[in-house]
Amino acid sequence: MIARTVARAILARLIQAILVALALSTLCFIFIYILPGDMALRVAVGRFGLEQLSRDMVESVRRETFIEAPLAGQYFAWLGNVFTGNLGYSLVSNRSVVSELWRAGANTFTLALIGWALSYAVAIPFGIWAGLRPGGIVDRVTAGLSAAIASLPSFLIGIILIWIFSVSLGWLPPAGNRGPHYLILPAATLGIGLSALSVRVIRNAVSATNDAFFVTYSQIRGLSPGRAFVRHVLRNASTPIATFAALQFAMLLDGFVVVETLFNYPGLGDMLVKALVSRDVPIIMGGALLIGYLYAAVSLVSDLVCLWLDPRQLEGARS
Amino acid sequence: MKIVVPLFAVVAVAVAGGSPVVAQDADELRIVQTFELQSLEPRTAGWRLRSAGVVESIVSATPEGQIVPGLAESWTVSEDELSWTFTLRDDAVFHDGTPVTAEAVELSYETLGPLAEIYGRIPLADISSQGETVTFTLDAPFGAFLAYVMDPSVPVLAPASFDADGGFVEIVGTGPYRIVELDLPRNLLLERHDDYWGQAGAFARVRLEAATNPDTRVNIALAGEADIIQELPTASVDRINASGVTHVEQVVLPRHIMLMINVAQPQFETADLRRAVSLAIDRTGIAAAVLGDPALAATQYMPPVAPDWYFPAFDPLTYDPAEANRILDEAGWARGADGIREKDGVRFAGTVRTFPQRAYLPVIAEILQGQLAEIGYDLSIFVGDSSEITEGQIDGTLDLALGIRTMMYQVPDPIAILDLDFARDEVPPGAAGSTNWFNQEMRDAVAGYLSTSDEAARAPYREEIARILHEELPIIPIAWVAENFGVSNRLESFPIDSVLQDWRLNQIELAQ
Repeated sequence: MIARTVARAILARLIQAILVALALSTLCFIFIYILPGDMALRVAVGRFGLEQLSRDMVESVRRETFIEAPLAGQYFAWLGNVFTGNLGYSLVSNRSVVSELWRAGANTFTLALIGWALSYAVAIPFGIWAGLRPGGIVDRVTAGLSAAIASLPSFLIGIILIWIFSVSLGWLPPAGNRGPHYLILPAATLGIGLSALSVRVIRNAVSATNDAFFVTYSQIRGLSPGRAFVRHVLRNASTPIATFAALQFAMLLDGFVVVETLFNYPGLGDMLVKALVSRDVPIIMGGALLIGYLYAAVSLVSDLVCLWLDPRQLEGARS
Repeated sequence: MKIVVPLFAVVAVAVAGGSPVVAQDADELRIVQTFELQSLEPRTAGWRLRSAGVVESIVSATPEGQIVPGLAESWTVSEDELSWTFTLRDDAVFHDGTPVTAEAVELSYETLGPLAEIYGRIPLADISSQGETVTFTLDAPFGAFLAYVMDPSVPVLAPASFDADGGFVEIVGTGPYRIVELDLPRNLLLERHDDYWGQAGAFARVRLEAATNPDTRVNIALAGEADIIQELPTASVDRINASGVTHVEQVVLPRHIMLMINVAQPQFETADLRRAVSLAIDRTGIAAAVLGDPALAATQYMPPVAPDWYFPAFDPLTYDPAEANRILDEAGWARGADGIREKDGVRFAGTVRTFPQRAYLPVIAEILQGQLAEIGYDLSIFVGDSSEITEGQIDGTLDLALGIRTMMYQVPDPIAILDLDFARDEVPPGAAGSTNWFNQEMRDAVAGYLSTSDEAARAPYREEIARILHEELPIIPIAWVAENFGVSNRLESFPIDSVLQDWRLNQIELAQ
């Protein structure tokens, strides 16, 4: 029965993912063609560079690509190819869209995962500490720091980190992607920004659960505060935290353009912005598909984690 | 408190200063560039690959723009200027170890030539090879032949670079460095070509990386993480020079910042009206405030870095708003109540389009807004994609545009660009060129210059072209461009060729 409910939830998410991804791609397709300007010229600038551009180059783009074919035909041809796993080729680089998305997506996913994990490695202990002692020194310090950090734009956090660890101390490279140590500063930039919010969410969830009657009742019945925390507070506070954490992670998946640009990191955000500027239709539509699926996958994982943390939700799902 | 102490310690150490970032590899030269490379196909990448010492041509050029031997050690031209014969050097080999033969050179030109823009303008009848010579036969004399044959879209590549149908497969060039690793669009790793016919490179490897964000390049320079960093903002020069690891070298390029004008508009339809706009621009102020050097203020169309095209005798472009106002008053453009001029119901107003990729352009646009207001011109600013300038030129909606133009970088003769910008009916697509300006004198002068390779005959045409541009102002030059290069203190010298923007990698050495 439980397995069937879980399977139904997964199926529902899959159908949702397909519909969302297709809707997103369709919207992107429509908006690219609504934008004013000569698409062949934009693609040619992206491909050859502005300065060495010639009229022949623009015309060769117009001739060699599909961009001036009837829109309905273009769209349905793309849709047909999607079902065979063929997302076409970039109009600018002529490389396969799948390989381009795979490379940039993998970079973004790796950095997002590290930054996200880093943020929770900091936020969970401090959030719990602050939540268990509301109004205490840790609560007040984390509240102040959270407010301060949350108000800083991510590029400023990045610049501060670069100034300290690259320019002054010379410990870490300021930009690029030539090894694991190149990930530390951008991941820390993301992590610090995310933890500013998550530490307060964790603190509030823990504090609210800790004040609940069932926790007090379990202690009256003889459970030690530690066991009451593990058995009741942690489990009950985890559901909203897991949902929030999943949301934060999902938001990272379409790239973090400012951080990618500052650290010269070849991720999805940077790639999609450039694709938009040069009207690289296959990359934009493939990117929209990918982001749609990734959001759905993260939502699914979040749902499953919440079900595991709070099996009572299964009853709700069944009814 | 426990957290605050280590954090304070880190900041304190940081403020006190530290060592340069990552220990640099003595065998590897690292260059950070501004542009990404989408493909290695010669039309896209030829110029970049020539700058990086990967590909070469049968001839080369000095930093002064003089044509010198390249893969050909000598050449002759027939008396009627229709036949150019090049004798190849016998010690040149491609990166795959095969010799550079006349047949290979012929194949390369025949395969890549039809797609090349500049080389394609040569009235070429035939290419043939015999022994160690390659002969180009022309339909008509063509004065820029030696320059145009250097078009980097047509480098000399090995036969292995092409498939049986003539399709491009890979770059197998002849330069002092060859490609060993490729991670487009950002990274290229080169290795020394040990059998190179000329001076071998001092570095075993060269790593070329793209970083499009100027702040990122500044951080790389400050951290000492690269040997050469291209195009650093002027505002960061002092900071970089104080870093102790990198210093800035300013190189004046054959490039200018220009105000493009739609000559079909009544506000700019006469040379006098355009001169009024030119007189309203305080070039020295702009060059000092934005580019950090008042000497970069343009005094005529071509910069002194192109000495054959720069004429010191010309009256320099000056700043004289009073004279500008007098011209406009005389032309019947009267000021309205809001201070903006008007004539026959047409307001003296328009929008300047520019783009953010060159950070100084939007800043200069704002300065121009203030300066043109002094002569009663209401200037709006639109910062968008550079393509929108070209689109405006084509559909006639362009009022003004602020952009840059490099006069020489692909071939060592500005005529390639001047011909495209001022002597053609169609709009050049690179956000450059005149807009709705037609001048038969100019076209005749360009045609005359291109009709002969006799230097004595060409010189008057050069002066004529420069004079027409100076007097007619179809485009208003604002400043010449000096590019700031970050150069690692570990390097002995920075020998860049500013004309062709060639890194000359094989001449870069570590300081003793």
